[in-house]
Amino acid sequence: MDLTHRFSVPTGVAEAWDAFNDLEGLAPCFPGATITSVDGDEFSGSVKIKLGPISLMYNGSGRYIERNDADRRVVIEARGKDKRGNGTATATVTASFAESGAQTDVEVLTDLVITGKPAQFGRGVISDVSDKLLDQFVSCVSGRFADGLGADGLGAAGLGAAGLGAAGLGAVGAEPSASPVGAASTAPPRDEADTEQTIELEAVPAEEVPAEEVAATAAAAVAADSPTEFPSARQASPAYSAAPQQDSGESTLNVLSTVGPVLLKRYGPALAVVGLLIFVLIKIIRRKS
Amino acid sequence: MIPAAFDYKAPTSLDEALQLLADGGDDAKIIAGGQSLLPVLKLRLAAPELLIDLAKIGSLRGVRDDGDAIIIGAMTPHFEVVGDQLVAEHASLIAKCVATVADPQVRHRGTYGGACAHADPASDIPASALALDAEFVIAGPGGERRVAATDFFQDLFTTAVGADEILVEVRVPKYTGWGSAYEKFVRVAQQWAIAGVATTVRTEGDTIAEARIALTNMGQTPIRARTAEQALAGVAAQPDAVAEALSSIADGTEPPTDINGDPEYRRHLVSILGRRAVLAAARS
Repeated sequence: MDLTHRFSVPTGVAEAWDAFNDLEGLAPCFPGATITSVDGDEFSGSVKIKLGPISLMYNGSGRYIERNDADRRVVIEARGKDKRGNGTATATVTASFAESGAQTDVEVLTDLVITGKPAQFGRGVISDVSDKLLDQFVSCVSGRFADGLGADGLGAAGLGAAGLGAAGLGAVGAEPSASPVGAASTAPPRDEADTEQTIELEAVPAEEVPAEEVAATAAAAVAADSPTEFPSARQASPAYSAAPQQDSGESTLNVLSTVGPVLLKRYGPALAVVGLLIFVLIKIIRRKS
Repeated sequence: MIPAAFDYKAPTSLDEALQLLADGGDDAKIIAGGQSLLPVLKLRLAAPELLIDLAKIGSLRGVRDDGDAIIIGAMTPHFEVVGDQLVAEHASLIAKCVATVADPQVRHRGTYGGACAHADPASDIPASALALDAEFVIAGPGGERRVAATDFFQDLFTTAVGADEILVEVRVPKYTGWGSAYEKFVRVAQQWAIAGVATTVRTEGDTIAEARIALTNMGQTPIRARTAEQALAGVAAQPDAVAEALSSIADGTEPPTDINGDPEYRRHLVSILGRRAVLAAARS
């Protein structure tokens, strides 16, 4: 799952660049994130997500895997593991900077991969949660820049995003495009910068099925799977039982391998009927010709 | 699907429960009917060390008359609320909203206060409290305080109840003689509301004199449609007139996008549901 955040900060590009390369500091911007140690390009810390009944603690570490001064691009990779051993989350955060007059446009791309139980939480609730947390983070970051307190780092963002992994998967499947949630209503004050956010679904299907189709079918499966108001049914949609990563180590969520068996079970009989129909039609057509 | 191990305490007094909560800190969690919390525990989305069950605190259960208001104890199960005489007489909207919640099993375990404290934006119950300008009585280490419904529902799953506090009762002003209706749109029975409109109106003859409207699942919290309420005052209880008065019902909402529909769809839904609800309330 990719999360994209764009915002502008009222500083020069060099200053913004320096700020994002300074590790410690931004942790307070991400709700619940703490950086416990920094060693060169590596850091470790924790993210605590608490929202209503949900309470998760991710411990993890991260590092800068790219710092491109020329292109003004940093790539941070962070991995988190839930305290109770329920799942893991990894995030690759790519932040790029572009000068735009007196301002700097910042784009933060977050690629999230989640495994484990949190991934099963359905009905888009979790994507609402991740939206909210990321909104708060972006507002805080842009607010700090607006105040000229640029001496912060993005370490927390990476780790925070990893923690968000917990929150993220609701969007995969259930909501290919999550709603831009009300940043305005909940964001910390000083939200002077322009923030804009889109969430897209990216899936690597195991076979030649267009990603959109997989997503749509997965969504349909969820719709069919959680028709009741039982909280358990709503949250425990089997479509999201996390499958181990199977592809060539590529860090993408393999939607089809996860939901494939479910889809097959659900639509198998229908497919068989359709197949039979096609077979009969072909027979008829051949006979006619 | 097995929760992490936790301790379980079922105190018999509110003071005892508050003390346990204070001692337990972050690792303690209040459980009411458990219809939302237990699934969360089973998925291990939360793993509290201690569950404090309020079921044995008798004073939290039941509905009683308090002069100009009725008081619904936080631990009153839904089925009791639905069948209660005081609720039927003075706050019939609450009974109508609660009656649509899930199924009989859930309604026998789930509680009015628990559902309010959970604050799920798709839940039918918060809208009933918001529409009627209910007050929430919250007990904490420093005593009791009252919070208006507009301030109580703060965000997704977030209410004014602090970590060391317990929701004790919901105080609902009397709307004696007002008609009410709850229109909830679902594609299949017992689904969470895709959108819902809770309304209660006071009529004079065939004219709507006053109206209260709250919307379910049209934002991160239940939302009052105040502009529409004002527009309804003095309007004839006829479909066209009501529809026109409700043209602004979805203003200021930020409905979610999910597999059931996008914001535009939901805004359209509440305009239709609103008309049905207001007309039904005016005729009830």
